[in-house]
Amino acid sequence: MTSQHKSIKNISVQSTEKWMEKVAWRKANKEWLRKSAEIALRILDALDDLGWNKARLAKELDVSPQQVSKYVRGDENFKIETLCKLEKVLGVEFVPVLQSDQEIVEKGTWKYVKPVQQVTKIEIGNGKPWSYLPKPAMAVEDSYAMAA
Amino acid sequence: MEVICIFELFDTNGKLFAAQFEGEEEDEAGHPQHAFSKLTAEWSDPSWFRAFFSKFKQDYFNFYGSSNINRLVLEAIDFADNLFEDLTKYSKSDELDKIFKPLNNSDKDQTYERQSLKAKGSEVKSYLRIYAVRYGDEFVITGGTVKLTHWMKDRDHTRLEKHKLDTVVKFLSRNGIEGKIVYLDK
Repeated sequence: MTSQHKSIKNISVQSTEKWMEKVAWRKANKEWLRKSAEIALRILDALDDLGWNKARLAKELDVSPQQVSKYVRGDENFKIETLCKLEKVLGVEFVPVLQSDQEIVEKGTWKYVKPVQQVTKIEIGNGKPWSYLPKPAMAVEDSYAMAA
Repeated sequence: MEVICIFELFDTNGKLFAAQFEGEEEDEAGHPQHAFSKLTAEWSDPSWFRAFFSKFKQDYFNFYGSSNINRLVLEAIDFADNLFEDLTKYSKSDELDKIFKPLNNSDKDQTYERQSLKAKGSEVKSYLRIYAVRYGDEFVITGGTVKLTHWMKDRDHTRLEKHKLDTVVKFLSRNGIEGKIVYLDK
């Protein structure tokens, strides 16, 4: 079956918005955009907790309300300076920098902690340097600790 | 609600369009917008999804089980990015009928003029919808939403999307049928 009809092109206007480029840009920048969205959500949570609106935050930060709107839109590439100001004003931490012996554990989750093998230093008196031998009987059992 | 204008989306070879509705001509910043630009702006905005899921979290929980609102927001933004990437891919390959499927499941094997269509993601939790109307081998996007109920009539925001589809169908009907030949009933 065929039907004759005019193209929608004849009754439309051209949009100049390069939407495919925006889609490609979001894909190429996915990792930091996700972090930006996470920060935006944390800001919104903190505003709720404090009972503040975006205008109040703008006042506290001494920036325009439009700037705060950008912060919560999820595509702001935050400077560390801006994050530090937000952390100070809102009383939250967005980007903890962990040292090599630190890790993040979610609130309320149980984390298995493997006990460290205990060693005892003994001098065996054979003229050799200090030796390290395991302690014979370990009374400590594997234990669980409640994370923060 | 009336259609004010139809926009041809950039770089789509005259195949993909978007409606502009009365009262939605500009975004909050005063920039011109149409149904598709409104959708892309909303679906990349965590504050928009957060407000939506805060209001309709129970609908989500009923369908998919309970979760943390912020996790839902991040998940939805990922799904939206994937859906727009699919739309780009099928638009470039001139295979838009691979992403736009009949709105009514009873129409699933039919193709006809001014048919209401939906595009959804390939994820198991495919709750995002982009709606469009077929006009020959051309597609007019009418909007989109988060669908968390079985029927569009169940919530105001999905009812509105159905109304927008019907409005565009009427608009196209009023704008004549003449000119190029297309093949229907694939």
